[in-house]
Amino acid sequence: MSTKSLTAPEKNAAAPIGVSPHGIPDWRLEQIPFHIESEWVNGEFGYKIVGETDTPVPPLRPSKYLDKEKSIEIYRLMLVNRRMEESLERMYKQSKVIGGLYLSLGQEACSVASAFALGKDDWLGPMIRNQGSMIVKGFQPRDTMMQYMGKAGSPTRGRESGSHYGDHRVHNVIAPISHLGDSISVLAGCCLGARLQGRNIAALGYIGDGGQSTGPTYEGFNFAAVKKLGVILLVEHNQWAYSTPVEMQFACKDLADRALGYGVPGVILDGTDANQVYDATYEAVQRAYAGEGASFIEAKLMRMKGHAMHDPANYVPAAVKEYWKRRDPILRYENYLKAQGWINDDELKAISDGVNTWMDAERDFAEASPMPDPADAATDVYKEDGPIALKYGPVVVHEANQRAQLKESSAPGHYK
Amino acid sequence: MPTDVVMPQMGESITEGTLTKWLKKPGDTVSRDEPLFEISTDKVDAEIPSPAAGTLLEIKVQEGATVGINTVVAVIGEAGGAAAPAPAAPKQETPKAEAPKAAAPAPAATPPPAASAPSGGGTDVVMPQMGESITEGTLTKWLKKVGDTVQRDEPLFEISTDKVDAEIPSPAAGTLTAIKVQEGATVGINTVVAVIGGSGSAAASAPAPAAKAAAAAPAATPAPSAAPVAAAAGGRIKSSPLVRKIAKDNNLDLGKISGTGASGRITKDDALNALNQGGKSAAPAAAATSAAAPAASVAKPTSPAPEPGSLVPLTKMRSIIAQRMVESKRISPHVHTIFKVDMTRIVRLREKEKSKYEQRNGVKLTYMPFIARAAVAALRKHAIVNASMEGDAIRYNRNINLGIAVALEWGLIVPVIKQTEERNFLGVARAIVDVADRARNKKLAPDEISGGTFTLTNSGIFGEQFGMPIINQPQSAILGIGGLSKEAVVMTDKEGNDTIAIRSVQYFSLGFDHRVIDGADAGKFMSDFKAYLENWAEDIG
Amino acid sequence: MAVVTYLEAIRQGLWEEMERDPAVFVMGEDVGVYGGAFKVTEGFINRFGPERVVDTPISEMAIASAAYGASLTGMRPVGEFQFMDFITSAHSQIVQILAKSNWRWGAPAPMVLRGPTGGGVSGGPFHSQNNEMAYVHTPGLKVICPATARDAKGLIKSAVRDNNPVLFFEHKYLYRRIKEELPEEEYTIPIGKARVHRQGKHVSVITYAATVYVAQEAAELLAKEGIEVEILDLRTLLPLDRDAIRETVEKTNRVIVLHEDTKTGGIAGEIAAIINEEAFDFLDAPIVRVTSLDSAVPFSPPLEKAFMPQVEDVVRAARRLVAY
Repeated sequence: MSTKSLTAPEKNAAAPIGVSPHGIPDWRLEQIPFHIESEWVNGEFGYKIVGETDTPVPPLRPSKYLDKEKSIEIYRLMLVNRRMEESLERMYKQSKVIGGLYLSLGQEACSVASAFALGKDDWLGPMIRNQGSMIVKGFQPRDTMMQYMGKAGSPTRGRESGSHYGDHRVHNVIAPISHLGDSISVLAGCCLGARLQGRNIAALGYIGDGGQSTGPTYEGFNFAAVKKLGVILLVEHNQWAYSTPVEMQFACKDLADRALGYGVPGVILDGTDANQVYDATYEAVQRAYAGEGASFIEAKLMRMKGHAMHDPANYVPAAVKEYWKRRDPILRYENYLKAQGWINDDELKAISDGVNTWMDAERDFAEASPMPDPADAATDVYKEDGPIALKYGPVVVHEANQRAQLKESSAPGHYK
Repeated sequence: MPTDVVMPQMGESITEGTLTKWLKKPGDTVSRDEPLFEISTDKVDAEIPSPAAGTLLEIKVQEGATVGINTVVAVIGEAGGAAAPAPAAPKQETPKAEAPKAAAPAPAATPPPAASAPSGGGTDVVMPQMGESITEGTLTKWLKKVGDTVQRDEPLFEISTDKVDAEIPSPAAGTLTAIKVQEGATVGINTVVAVIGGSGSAAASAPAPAAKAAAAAPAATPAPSAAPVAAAAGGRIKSSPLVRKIAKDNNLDLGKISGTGASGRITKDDALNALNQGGKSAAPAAAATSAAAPAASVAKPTSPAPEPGSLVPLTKMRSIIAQRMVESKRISPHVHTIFKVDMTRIVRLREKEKSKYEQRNGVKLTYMPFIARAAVAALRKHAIVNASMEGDAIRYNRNINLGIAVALEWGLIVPVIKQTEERNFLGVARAIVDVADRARNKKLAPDEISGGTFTLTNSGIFGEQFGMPIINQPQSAILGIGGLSKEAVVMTDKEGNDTIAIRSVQYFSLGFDHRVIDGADAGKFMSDFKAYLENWAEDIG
Repeated sequence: MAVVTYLEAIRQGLWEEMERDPAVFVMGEDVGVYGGAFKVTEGFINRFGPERVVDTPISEMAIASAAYGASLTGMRPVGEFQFMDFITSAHSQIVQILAKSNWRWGAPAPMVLRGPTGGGVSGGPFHSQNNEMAYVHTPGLKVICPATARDAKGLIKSAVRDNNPVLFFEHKYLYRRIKEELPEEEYTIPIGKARVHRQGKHVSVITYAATVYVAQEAAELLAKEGIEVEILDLRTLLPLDRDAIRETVEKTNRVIVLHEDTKTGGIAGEIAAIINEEAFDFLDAPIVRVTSLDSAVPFSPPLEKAFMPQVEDVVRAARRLVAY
């Protein structure tokens, strides 16, 4: 099993800095210099930091594959991701958003740069916070806004909330469900269907450091690995599963070590670095296209908000938040673009203004949209009869024995 | 247009929040998303942005107040709009928490109905658990009524569950003071069904003795417009949704119908019978074919008696009967042989089983199925008696299709039970009731009155000893059923000792066509028929 | 035309559908070279190749949701569970993903999940269950439980052609016990239509799958007593054929609902409720349920017999209803 294909020459984002104790390539420019332990303090049980938190932030290294235009576009999309969520947060507080609101502050590079590596025919299996990935795949901010507001014009026509929507016709996005890990085997099935139609495609699925504890994660990814399907499992190791630190979620040091168990290539990278995220996903996509099967990516980063709006995440020590705030993915990328000489302050402002104007318009549209017609609550439970088109063209008929006939079953099988 | 500013819901389970601080005051200009106030909830503290741009017209909730989510805390007017005079109302808005108090629980002012309070020190009788998986049982029959004295272990009621039917003995000796579960009701195990002893009010619940009595009496009195039997059971007429619909659609008074179902319930058939008789009471279904009881419907005149001296043309049926009888006498040389059968064993069996039988199977236990089964057994053995003449040949019929002569108010008809040999006792019993009912209701299909191979005719019901029946062509024999009576009979035991005993005896007369059947055949047939009845060994279902 | 078993009928139906439409493929544990635990796909791999006869790791959840993923690309997968008992390992995927897909985001899931169900073979509690009601309770699915070879073939073909996720419960007791002559020409049986298995006028037994034959035996015994039993074979549990239920109630006025599934939460309760709502005025007696006991399926034959509804239970219930 080759792990080499997820490495690349030095001096760019895809270059290995080191390897995990089990030999998995680690592309990060720095290791997280602290960890969390739990203990009693003055009669209260809580978390404490062991190690340093004020280490300097290393500048990003260039991507092996991204040029100037693509890099700026990734920056713009990360900004869209963030501004959309800021708008949502305000609308939530104004009671315009219904139900819970799940934000991805600090995770924009992971969502945007990974989805950016997918081709048009490839599939995306987002999780609740990957609202940015869905924009990269072609949805508009108004779609997510109207979802959160329960509007008739939302992609699910008010039936579902938040990022629980998708599109199987054009954007190729699986509508996620709340159950963690369940989309992975669905993505495997998409690859299987495409392969039967003569296409090797890639399908990018996300899972959290908490979600990867579930059985469906293992069963789905094992299925993809065994059947050599182009599933890319991106573990967003954002340090906290709701309020549980990763130390209570799994016993291994690096989740990417599990790639060895699945028999697929794996890599560890910094999830606040859009270049690393893009390069790793890009290489995994190319493997999928070549029919080489599944890949495993572990991105270490930080969820900067609570689980949802009701959760201020007071359980996270302040110094930890500060450490990660200095590694804000958008800020880091802005500095990188400037250091490359690809952008100046005026151009940055122009991008920002453009995003703000667009976001205001999207928000106005969403707010003005009507609520759904109650008569629409229980329609479309079933799909009516009629042909359903093959997505990738005719099924390839293989060199099987066309003359084999159905013979009566000979063996008794289980139980007589 | 002014915009309401509301307390947001910060988390799905949050119902209220505390407004901790206003960041603007009335009259201030605010832009959309500009921080307006601060809140604190169980889960978070947050700064709330303004939902719209304009002038803060009014603050409705003061700092420190806790209000429910979606409570309007302020109003924002369009920029430049005149500030509305702040009414004094806002403070009243605050104590939302008082609302629940209005819905204080009502005092428990409904005492339980006195009647349902069972006992002062009596013994509760409960529905037993007959098997570990059983959760409920149906009380099929009360064997005692309120006021009766019972001994411990004396049978008190009968039940039926998924797995067993059983007679339940009384748990204590004393007076049955209350029946709490009526016949036909299905209740959970350990439900109190009755109370023995104590001061329980006997009137608490009326049992259904009247209904029971009616069901048990085998049409001894053919019910001249029977009393509303079903209605007697505590004022509620037992029927079914279908019966009530039939009654409603046809203006039928269910109170005037006596039910033949369990506990006197009026069944669909009862209702339809009543309709066919012009809404009059339905006679118990099996009466007419019962050898022991006078036939109810036959006894009832429906049309005025003809004027003396008048000449009344033959009805269609009368003329067919006349023609057929003359023909039969002309075609077949009739011979008759008479046998006396000791029915004591069957009379005892029937007396013992009849009430439970009907409860169990929904059909009255009459003598007819006994006689029919004995005839079928003998016919199987003596195929010639089941044969018929066809030109110069004898047709040995494949099946035994038993004709049953049914007397009607307007004549006589012989419906046929096809392939009687394939039915067991209960099947024959049901079929006899069914065809007799339908004969009286004019609901027989044409193919149900043809194709018979042997006929039974019951002429004994009016007290005769025996008759000499005429063969129903093209059959070769007919069995006349005479009257059942008690006689002193000389009985000889195994040692040859003679004694005189009082026995129930019945005469049977076989009319046969001597062209087909000889006297010896007839004698052997009747001898086997007699032996079958006298040594009855068949399960009656 | 040869007489074929219930099992062979299903094999024929699947084979014909795979020949007719290349978008149809099968996947499951041991379905390839081995031909499946009960040999339903025996010989399929030679005709259709390993591409369309897909052996999978042991994971019912992955079979269910990978089939779903393939259906999103327009394929028509047929997933096999070795025993329908193991459907519970895919419960979350079936209920949360498949069933809600068209309603939630307009993504139809034209797919079938099939496998052997039911008891009577001393399979014990994990190889004998009737788990269909968990799915009948799930809008968006279709649930089929055929009783005859003819229906099994016609319905598996309709299931493959349906644009919704269809669960196809094959009763393993019937696999090789039921034989029937099938039509020479191609045919399908519509989903959602019940079938009158036997005409009668006194009592209706509404049932499905293997207990159709329990009802039939009871009906033959009861006929000797003059009780004519009508047997309604539901064939499809979701959607239910309400018209057929109403019609038989209007005809006989007395109803026994019989099933091998356990009593509490079984479809008998649902049918009783439908009759109550739609045909109350046609009842001449209460509706009676004859079902398995509310326990798991025992292994040892005397225990399993006591657990499952027997012919005598139906006979007794029918007598009681006629006497009511």
